[in-house]
Amino acid sequence: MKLHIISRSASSHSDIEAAARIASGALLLIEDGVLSAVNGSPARELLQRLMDEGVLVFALQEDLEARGLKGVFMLEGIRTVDYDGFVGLVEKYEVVPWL
Amino acid sequence: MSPEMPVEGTSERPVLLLFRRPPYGTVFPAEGLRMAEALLAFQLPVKAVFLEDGIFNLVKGQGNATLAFGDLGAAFAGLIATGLKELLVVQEDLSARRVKIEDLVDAPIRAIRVTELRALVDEAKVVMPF
Amino acid sequence: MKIGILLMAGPYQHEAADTAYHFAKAALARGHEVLGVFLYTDGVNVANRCIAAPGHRNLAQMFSELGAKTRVVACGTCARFRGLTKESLSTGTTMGGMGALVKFLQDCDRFLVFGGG
Repeated sequence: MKLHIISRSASSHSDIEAAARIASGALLLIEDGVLSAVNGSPARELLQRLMDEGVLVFALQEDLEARGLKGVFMLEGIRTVDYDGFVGLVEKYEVVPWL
Repeated sequence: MSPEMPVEGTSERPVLLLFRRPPYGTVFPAEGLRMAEALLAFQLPVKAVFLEDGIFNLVKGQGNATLAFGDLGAAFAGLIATGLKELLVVQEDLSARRVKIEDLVDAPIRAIRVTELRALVDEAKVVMPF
Repeated sequence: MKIGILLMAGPYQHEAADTAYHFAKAALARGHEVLGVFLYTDGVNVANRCIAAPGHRNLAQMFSELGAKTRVVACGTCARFRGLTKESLSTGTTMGGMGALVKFLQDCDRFLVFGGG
């Protein structure tokens, strides 16, 4: 169980698909990766499937706010964490960065 | 026997290098190669997996005189002489791209399935994507 | 926990330098030991003292500030490829070889990589 970190949007890159092949544990969306947390993102079904399988999906709050993405846009079930929470996740899980 | 001697059978968890990107369009695979060389020189346990478009790093016969980028395939094969046991490629990604092992450089290359990739990621303490 | 960080993106071109900075700060604030940030590929450019960004956050200053609390090491070879010299390094940052990174890798409990593009 690891923390898979995604930093690019699903609209342009298939990092979530790449991670999903092997992911267990948790997924954290950061930087442009937070766009995949939007309800209309092309990754919504894949993220939903991951969540159904027990993978926890998080999005970094500071990156969401910087982009004006608030609760109303978000895919249900995705949790937000701030940088402090990001560190908290790293305490729990070793990291797999999908750059 | 010196008390500082490592305990027989103690295994250090490997550094896993994931080569996801194809060569030359970005600097990442070349820098990943340099990373591998350095880690091997310092005798860290290293494993290298080529997946997604990263499999193209191992295609044989790379090179264009005008661009002068060198041949990363040959360079990766050269890692074997410096201590890397094998080059691992994800079979599903080879198949999806219709590339065969015979198209790749002549080196100890082993195709693994995604399930083994998961095991390698779980085993590693550190994962570095290139 | 002991945390090591690798940064593989340059200042402003990509958000990764900011992410690495904020993550390192948050980790220190939570009481962890950040062994260091190793600057690799374009990441070395965050250690350039000549960065001037009037009216904007200054990434060199941010990493200098971080360098006072942890090690910020720019890969010497990457620096040479980018024309960054020892004299250009910002305060609190140093030039180093892969040996520095290897030490972080050996000693860390957790290792993060920021970068891409």
